[in-house]
Amino acid sequence: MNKFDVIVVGGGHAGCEAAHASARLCSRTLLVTMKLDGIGQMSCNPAVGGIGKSHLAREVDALDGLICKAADDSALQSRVLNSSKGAAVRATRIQTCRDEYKKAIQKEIMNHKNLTVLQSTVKSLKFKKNSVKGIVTDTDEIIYADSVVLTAGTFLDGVIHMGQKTFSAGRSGDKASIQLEKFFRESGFNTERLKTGTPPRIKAKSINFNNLQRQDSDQPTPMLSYINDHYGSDPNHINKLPCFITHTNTSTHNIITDNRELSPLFNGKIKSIGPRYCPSIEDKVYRFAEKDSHQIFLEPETSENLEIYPNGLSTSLPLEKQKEFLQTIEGLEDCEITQPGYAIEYSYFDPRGLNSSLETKHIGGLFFAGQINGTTGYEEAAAQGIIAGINASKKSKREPYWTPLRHEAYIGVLIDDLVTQGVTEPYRMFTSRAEYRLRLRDDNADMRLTEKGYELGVVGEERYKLFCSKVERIHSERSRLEKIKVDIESPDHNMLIEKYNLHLSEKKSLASLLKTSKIEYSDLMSFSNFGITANASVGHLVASEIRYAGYVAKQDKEIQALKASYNITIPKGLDYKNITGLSNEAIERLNKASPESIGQAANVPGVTSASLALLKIHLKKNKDI
Amino acid sequence: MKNNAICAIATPHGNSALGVIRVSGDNLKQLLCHLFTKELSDRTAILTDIKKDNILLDNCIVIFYLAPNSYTGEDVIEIISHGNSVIMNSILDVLCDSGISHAKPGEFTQRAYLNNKISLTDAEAISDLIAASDIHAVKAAQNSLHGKFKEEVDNILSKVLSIRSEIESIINFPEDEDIPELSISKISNRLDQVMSMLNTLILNSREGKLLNHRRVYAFIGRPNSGKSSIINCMLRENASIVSGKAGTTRDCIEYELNINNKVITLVDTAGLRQSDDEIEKEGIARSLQTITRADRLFYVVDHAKGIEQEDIDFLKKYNINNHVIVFNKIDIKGASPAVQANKTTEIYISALRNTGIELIKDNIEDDFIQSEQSQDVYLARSRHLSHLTAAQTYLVSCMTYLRQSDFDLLAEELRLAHVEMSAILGQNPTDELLQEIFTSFCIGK
Repeated sequence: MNKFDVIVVGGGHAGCEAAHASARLCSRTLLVTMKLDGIGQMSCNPAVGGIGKSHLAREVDALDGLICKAADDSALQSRVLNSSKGAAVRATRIQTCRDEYKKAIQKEIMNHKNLTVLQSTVKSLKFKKNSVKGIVTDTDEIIYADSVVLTAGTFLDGVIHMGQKTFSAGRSGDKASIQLEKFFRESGFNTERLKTGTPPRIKAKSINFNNLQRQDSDQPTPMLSYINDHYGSDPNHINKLPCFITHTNTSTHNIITDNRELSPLFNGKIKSIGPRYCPSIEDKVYRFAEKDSHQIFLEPETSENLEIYPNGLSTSLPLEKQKEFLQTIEGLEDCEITQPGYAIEYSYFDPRGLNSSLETKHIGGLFFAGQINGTTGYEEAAAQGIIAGINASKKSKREPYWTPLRHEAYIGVLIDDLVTQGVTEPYRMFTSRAEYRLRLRDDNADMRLTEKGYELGVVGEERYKLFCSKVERIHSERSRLEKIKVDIESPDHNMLIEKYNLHLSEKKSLASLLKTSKIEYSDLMSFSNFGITANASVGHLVASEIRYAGYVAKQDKEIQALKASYNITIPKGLDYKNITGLSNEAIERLNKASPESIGQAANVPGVTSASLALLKIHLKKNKDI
Repeated sequence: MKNNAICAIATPHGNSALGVIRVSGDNLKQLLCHLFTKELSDRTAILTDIKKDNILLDNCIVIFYLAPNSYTGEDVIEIISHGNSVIMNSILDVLCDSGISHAKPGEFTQRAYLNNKISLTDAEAISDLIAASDIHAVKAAQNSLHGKFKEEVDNILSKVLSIRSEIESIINFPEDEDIPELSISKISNRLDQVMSMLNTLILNSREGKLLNHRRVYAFIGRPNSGKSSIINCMLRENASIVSGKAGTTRDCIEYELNINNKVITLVDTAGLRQSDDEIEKEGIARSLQTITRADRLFYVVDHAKGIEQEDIDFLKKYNINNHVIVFNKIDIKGASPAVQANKTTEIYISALRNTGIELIKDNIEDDFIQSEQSQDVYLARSRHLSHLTAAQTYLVSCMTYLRQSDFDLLAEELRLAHVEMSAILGQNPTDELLQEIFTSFCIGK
């Protein structure tokens, strides 16, 4: 077994999606992990989804990926967020059982016929000229492949900080990957450092939940995977558990302020940058000193409910101080810490070194995905993983690569931002990053991507059939609603006037009523000639399509231009110094980002429309010669 | 709605018998037919009225060229009107109201080239043109962003940003307690306030009250070359400290000067040299900023010493090429005041004897008159205006969606308004937004 089509290094969220996607594409795939039992592990909070994140996760699902199905199978508590703010920003979030989640992922990874799993540590890669040829393990075994996907997470030279203590680790209890980091640095890759953190875990039995605010699942229980939510499958059901909400107070803040010097984040020991949107409790207390309370979510870690994850309390203070401040919080007075919180510094590669396929510009056949590209979050990792897996397989088959563009998917926004702008802090998806947010809804990821996924071969027959039947149901429901008319003389019209102050001047179809924002699909169901609907969830999708149709049409022209700009490719290794008239700033930025197309170049910060015009003229001139 | 069409005045600026406005883009016939009283047909001249708000602007000849048989390879319309700049600018405004953008420098030629209408040999020339015009356009844009206008734009932008950051926070972090509840009445009040500020700004800008740019002339050079003395002569008063010790003007000092009823700004800068003195270094840094802002630079040289290697290095290092060299202290060698129009204009003067100063003033006046005829500033202003009016339209939709509680659509229109406003100041709206969110709110979950 020393030759594969694709080798994936790492068994986290990026690695699993990459390996499984490659296997679905019928490439003989090897997944190498340092610890078998670590496959599919949730290293941070036990939840999948949320705003921007469920959007990404569902896109992975639309390409037949693993993350949503595993989350549904391990759901402890599920909620819809932003339910009243419009379909484009609605999202689903699932608190999961860590163990069940891991089990669900491992089941998929271990059972795929094209996928082999090996527990081993990779110490270096084999390159030939500028192409990857395989991997070398720490026992000096060589395994060959023309495509290698590296998904090392925070393991590359990871260093954990806890108070005065500092030690090498990939995450709590796992060793870091030091040799591999050294190998890459010596091979000419630029590594930089970022930081992230995690809160202490608390023994559930030591918490007094009696006076805390309880948060249960929404009813009906929302689900993430289209298979379950739209196509009618039923996930594995496990014991449901609520979350609880508590708050820090001035005593908590005093302890944290008094021990400022003991926090490596503030005494100068940690220099790298952490995420602004996921600050440690020290950060919150120091930066927002005027606030005397912060909200803490107590989330169950597993269905057995032995441990609690206190979301919002990430810290790198020494263990005894962690305990001291925890015990000032309501409900946690007698709490016992089962695992201390910590901050971790790790190496990442400047993602501007990647093509949009996630292949490195430096070495052909070598793909990077996940946290090593400077991102954070399971969903961001999974999104890159599936694209790297697809393209690694395509590479081995000598078929063209595929990455969605900005208007097609959040995955496209994510990758385009990474490769053109690089990162200055761990990159997390926000819906604000997407110019086409009204198209990129979490209710239509399959409508945007599944057909393409089937064409690529990454979406299986079974799923594709389910998808097609959904599309069919949407179409027939839409045309049904277009045929049913509300007459001006009818009592339904009176109802419209009374309830919505909507006066019709002529007969109108039910479909056209859905353009009026206040009217929901469920409102139509009370109309006298509504008839019988196939399925209410299909109705909501029809409603959301009709509602955004105006915007979608308005953006079409802009999108055509966008697509065209991504089709004008820039030759590899173009030196921008040779382009007449470019400013020094534009030259420097473009050389650093080395964009693949005019579309990418337009997204490089500091590149003006005049620079783009000069670039276009230069490209045409070279072609004409 | 945006389309790809562009327009510009194709004849030289200033009044003349006839003027030509050129428009290029896709589907022009469909896009613009409502402006003309007769139907357009390929390569046929029609005589038509052009009106704005039902007021006749001019009776024009309009010629339509159907793609691809045109200068740019797209549909092209040429409007021939009387060559009066007020009429022509009004026609441009009418075109812009139909969603057509002002052409960027060299854009017609660039399109012609990309559509295979002109040959390879022209390509280099277009690149030079775009690069050179871009420098002018950037400068014109910067210069039109001064004083009250910039203050107002900043003010409105920061208000838009703050509303947007609140709405985006509500959308992106619905579980964070620190984020305020969405209050329709509060947001509606804030939107009202922004809209009224924006309306006033647009009104004032249309009337040209705020956008009048004062041209900037800066004196730069090595220490002790006599920059401050020359400016003192021009102002006829002792305004900045003059002493024999090199490096006395440590900051940029601006003066207002009236030359034959033309008000301009004179800038005195710190002498340029390697220095370890922190304050002086700061002064030199500001001198360098002034270089990019000035419409014309006077590079002052000690006539007795002549141009030295350090001067040449300096001019080269900062890519200064639109300058006039002023040879000061001609009294030492007993030379006479003079102007020599070489590749770079040279002016010989003596500040000490107050001779030759009028030659500098003449030079400034010439530049001023030429610049009056330049389109750059008009273009920069009208670009700002078109961003402002676009933002206005989006904000009006915001109000509609807010009333209907359509938050995702409200957020979209607010984003579009923000993008337009940011474009005036050349900022990246997404970065600004995230920065604003994370400094205003403690995001935790």
